[in-house]
Amino acid sequence: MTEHQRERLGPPPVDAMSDVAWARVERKVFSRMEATGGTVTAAVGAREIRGSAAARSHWVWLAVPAAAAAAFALAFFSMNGPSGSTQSEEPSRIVAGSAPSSVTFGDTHLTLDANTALVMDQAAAKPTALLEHGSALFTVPARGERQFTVLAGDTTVRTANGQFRVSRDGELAQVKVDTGTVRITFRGHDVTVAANHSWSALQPADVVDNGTN
Amino acid sequence: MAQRASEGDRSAQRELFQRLKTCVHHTLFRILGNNRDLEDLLQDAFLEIFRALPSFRGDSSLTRWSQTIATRTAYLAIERRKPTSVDLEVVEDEIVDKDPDAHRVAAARHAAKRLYVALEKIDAKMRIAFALAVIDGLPLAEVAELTESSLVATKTRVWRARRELMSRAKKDPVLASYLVDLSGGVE
Repeated sequence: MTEHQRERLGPPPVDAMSDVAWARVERKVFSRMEATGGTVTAAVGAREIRGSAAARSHWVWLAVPAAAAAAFALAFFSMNGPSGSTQSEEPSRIVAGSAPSSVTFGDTHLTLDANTALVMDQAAAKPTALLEHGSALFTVPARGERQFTVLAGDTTVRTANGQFRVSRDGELAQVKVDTGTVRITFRGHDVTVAANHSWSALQPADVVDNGTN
Repeated sequence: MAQRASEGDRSAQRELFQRLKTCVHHTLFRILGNNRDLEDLLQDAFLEIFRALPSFRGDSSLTRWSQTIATRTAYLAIERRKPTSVDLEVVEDEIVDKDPDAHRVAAARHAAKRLYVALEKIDAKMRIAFALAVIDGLPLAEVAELTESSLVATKTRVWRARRELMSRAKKDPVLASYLVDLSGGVE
């Protein structure tokens, strides 16, 4: 036993989870709630810790929604998850304080407005930016099938070429496209927004021509 | 906020998620010992928190209430998964930090891994009571509350867990020493 082990060790520290892992958890929780129409199907159940045969049988009732949620999560992450990409960068959290900030990730250029925070995960086959709050302009050069994804709450924005701005205030996301085309999915809505058009989570089925604003 | 979240206000739910995530994670981590599989359990815990929110009466703080749900989630996870054997040689950490405290932390991690391997082999209720009371250092009354058990049952579980772990530690001096360490030096 070493000198160090003779000191009082105490409990080990609680290892924090990464922002990206938390973002995944948050996204999956709310996706599962959304998938059940806002009525959460309990995975745990309000039972006492004593457990019982009845408690175990409860899992049978959960099997169908749980399987659906798992399939949804699997499908979602098969679209966004890691693949054979050789990129291995750690996710980066970028915060713009009182002034705008610009940063480049690979071929993608981001300009964050003041008071904006996002997490950039380049490790995925489709690089993903998680917009926590604020507004950012994304410039994504033509990249073939390899899409760039921005997550803003329940809003997902994907493009393989374009310049667009995403703003997020709580659950309210807005997207304004300058060039190229982006595809937006939000709570069952799936719309394509072309250059010089905008979209808002307030009217998720509508695409607005910027010229008519 | 809890009221709005229970009524389905998504912004309030997100806010609640952010507010509770650290304490829910802390409880799950202390019981299970690492972040493996924790993303799934965090989802389960939060889904249950949102599901049960309308029944939250405010008898305890929202934090304590959510930790009770996290404890229940951990219990069910332990119950349903098969014991796994962990190769201790694989989980060793290298001490690369020159900070003197890094050695203490690394030694604590090393010993804690052995402890959690031993905990895998004992009854889930005993394991949880021990993890919360001895590893996390919570008062027994709080552990009783989190595990929805009586104080007497909690004391008994912690005592039995310690006895069983000490028995297993006879062949593992690092674990034996760590158990004494966590008990404040009392053998």
